[in-house]
Amino acid sequence: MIINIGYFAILAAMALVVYAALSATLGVRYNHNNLVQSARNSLLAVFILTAIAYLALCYAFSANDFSVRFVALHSSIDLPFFYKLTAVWGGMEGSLLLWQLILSFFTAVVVVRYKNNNRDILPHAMVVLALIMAFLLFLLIGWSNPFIRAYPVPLDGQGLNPLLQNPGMVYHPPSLYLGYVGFSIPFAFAIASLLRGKLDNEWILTTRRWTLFSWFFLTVGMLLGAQWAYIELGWGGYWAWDPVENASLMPWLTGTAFLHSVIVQEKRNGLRIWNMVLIITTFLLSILGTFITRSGVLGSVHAFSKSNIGPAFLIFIVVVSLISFGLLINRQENLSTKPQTSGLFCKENSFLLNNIIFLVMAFTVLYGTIFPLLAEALANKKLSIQAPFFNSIMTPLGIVMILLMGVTHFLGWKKTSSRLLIRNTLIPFFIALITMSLVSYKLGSTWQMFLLGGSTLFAGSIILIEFVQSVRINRSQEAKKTGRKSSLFKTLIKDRRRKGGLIIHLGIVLFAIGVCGNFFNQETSFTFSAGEQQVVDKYILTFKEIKQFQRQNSRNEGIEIDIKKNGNPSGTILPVKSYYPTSSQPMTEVAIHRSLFEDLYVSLSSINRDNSATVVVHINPMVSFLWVSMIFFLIGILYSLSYKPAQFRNIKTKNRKG
Amino acid sequence: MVMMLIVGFSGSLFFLKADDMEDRVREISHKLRCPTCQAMSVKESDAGLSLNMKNKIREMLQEGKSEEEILTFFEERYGEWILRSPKKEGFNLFLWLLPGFLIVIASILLFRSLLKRSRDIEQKKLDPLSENEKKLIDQELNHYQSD
Amino acid sequence: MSKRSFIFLGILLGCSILAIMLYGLFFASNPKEIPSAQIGLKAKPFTVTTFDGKKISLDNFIGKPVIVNFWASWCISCRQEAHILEAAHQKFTPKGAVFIGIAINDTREASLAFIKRYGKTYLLAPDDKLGSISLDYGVTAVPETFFIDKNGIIINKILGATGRATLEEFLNEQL
Repeated sequence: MIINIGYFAILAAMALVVYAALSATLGVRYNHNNLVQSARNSLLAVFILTAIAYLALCYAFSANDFSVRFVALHSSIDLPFFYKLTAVWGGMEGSLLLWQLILSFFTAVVVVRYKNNNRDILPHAMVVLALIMAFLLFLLIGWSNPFIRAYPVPLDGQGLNPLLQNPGMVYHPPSLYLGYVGFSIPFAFAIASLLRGKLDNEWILTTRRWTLFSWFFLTVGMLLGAQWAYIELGWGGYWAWDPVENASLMPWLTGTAFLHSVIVQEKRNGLRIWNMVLIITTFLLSILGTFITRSGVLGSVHAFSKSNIGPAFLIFIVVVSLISFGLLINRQENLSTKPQTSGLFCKENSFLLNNIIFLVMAFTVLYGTIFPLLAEALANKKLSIQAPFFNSIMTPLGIVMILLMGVTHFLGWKKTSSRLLIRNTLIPFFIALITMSLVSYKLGSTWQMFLLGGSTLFAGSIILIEFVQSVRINRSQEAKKTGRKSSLFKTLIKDRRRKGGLIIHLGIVLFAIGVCGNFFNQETSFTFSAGEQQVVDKYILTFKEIKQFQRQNSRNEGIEIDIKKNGNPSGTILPVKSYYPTSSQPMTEVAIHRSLFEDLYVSLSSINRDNSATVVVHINPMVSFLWVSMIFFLIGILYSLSYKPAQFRNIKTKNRKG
Repeated sequence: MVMMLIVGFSGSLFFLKADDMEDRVREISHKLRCPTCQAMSVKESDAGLSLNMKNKIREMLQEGKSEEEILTFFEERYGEWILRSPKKEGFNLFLWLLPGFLIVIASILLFRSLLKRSRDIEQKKLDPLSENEKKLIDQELNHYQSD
Repeated sequence: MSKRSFIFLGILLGCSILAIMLYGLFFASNPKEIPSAQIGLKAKPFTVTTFDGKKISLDNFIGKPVIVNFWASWCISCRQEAHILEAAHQKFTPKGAVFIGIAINDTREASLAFIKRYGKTYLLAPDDKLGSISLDYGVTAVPETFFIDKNGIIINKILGATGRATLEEFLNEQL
């Protein structure tokens, strides 16, 4: 019964969304504010209806209602309750419903928040958002319906794939979706301003916070996915250049490029057409990504269930491309500005280079991902394109990006004096050179490691120096104004935009350090029996005993290992093999002994007949830096979000005065 | 931070038990893709077929075969698909060369347009600010100081 | 570069991506299925000892069509296939065909139990510990079946359970 409510809610939402699109369009055309208001209200209702449908599905999972086919496919009676709720997005249908939920929520927020400003383009934005939702709802009603029944009703479900039964399942998909869907908002406003013919910078300023917000969640979503792969897949790495990973990386690359180039439009009124191109591309890439991973054209770790949803997505992409780019080409005359003159070493040029490199990276990722199809079509052969190709192209580009990231902080917008340039790069350059030379001398190196490590240290030093200088300048400013020393807190919250950028870039530096750790990975493998010990680098691993235990839905067998680090007892780890009733192959659960600079990563290969155990041991330096960077992203984004662009502050004071 | 990094790295100075044969097996198996897995190499995979392949590689190394001979052995039987990284020849050159080609073209175009712009700025003479303009700027600066 | 050329390039890029995606949706083969690299080549020779203790060698069967099937007791599709292969064996071996089944990554007991349970009677042997024969044939999964003609050339490779019609078509043609 509840399920039927869910389905009807979706049907009603579809009707309302079409109505909203129509009434907003007519309302704008014939200048009837009532129609626009009505559209606004229906979009709010759409959110409520979607929420009802979503809750209905959640209820079906929690109540073990296996008459619903989606529940039967992704849940089972013995599945822990926690995972029953996250199983909602364990399949295509539920994921689409989650996507629709988030999109309808964001639309509702937009409709409420921008009630008073953006009056001229808000209705158009509503139409765009309504039409995107219409597409999602259309799929939810037809091809990808989570509410379809199963006859006969099975006694138990097929269970959730054991790989998905991991805490990462809670954070990783929702975070990614928040990121993807978040970018729809700037997209909608961009198209809205094209439709309206209002070709100023307002859409950028309005959606600035949405862009930041989406960037954060997309970044963290990807890092959480990497962390999950690291813990769950058991091969010691965290990024495999798998098609689904690439599908999230592409919009991230263009989205980050967009994040930077809108600043150029804000400050220098340049790159206006380019920004439109970027946001449209970002939106399209996020849909293309979904298409690639769900349509079955390419195999992927995430391709748990191939669905026949491919053609619908492709048509949607084509339609959106034609309309968006068509509009842009149409209006481009009114958008273009005469490029302002500037010196060679200036912020604007740096941002331009930044964009070009991000675009080349995004193209390379797309190209490498779909090249197997190209090879089959044109050369009639099957190819595997995995990490080596991507790493060889992305590493040099990454090195240039990191250098750019460091240098841009002290470039002027129009030009930079060479004296300033040299003064600010000298110390960081030597720090990087000396450190990397030492490291290479002691540990041996490749040119990639030298350059990547060097550029990371270079950028990191610049950022730290800039941050300290920023605080000092704030301090002296405060002192001049008030005549006394200000608290550290006050200086920390000044210049939030600049500091936010510095902190986020510092997060990137930490991330890059984590990646550099890969150059020093070590691996070994051995067999030992209970009571025996093995020396691995600075660790002594002692096999204590075999442990067998039952979890809610799995039988587990592992070995308890005592760790001694540098001679001191350092805890116990338990690598395990888990046997789930729903899967014939056991799952490997690795045990990780973490410290800030190093991970001791132990994977149980097998427990042999004579009760000896074969393990694979990895030493992965600097991995923790990857996860720590997320904290920096959070702090930095909070700083940046709290900044209000000057233009908006003006409006407020003008209203107060006038 | 620099000191912390140096101390951190020095931990790896004590190398793991040297096992050249195993290292060579790892090196070569890392170049082949695991046939039954998604994006993993044979080295990284624990699947039955990957274990067979690793054992075969070890046997061939013990027989004295070179890395190239081993890779060719597998390529003959499984096709080019078994290599993780397509050979840099023939059609595959489209894969390897296109991104580099793009970078080169993009850099040339960018450099040319930037040079043109910077030449323009040198030719233009900048007028000094008038008194009025200076006042306006000071006013705005004071206004924004309240950030 | 003029705006026009950028637009043109953009359209070109968009159309290419669309074309590739369409190809992938409707014309490309399953990405998980890898065709054999050895079709048209001479089948690699092997010598095995069957579960009954007989020593057989592929070379002995030149002049007869050979079906080489790779299987394992833990493989679910192999169960369904066992009946099909057995029926074909009964029908075609008197006419001169040869059926060989190689068990890979399996234990002797499990294989024998499977053979008994599904009534396989043709030539059955385990692969060696390294899986050399399966590696020689480029086997990526079980079950996989190779059709070898009278001259010892691999004509076809079937991924997954073999169908009766495919078997009969090949053998009728050969005999």
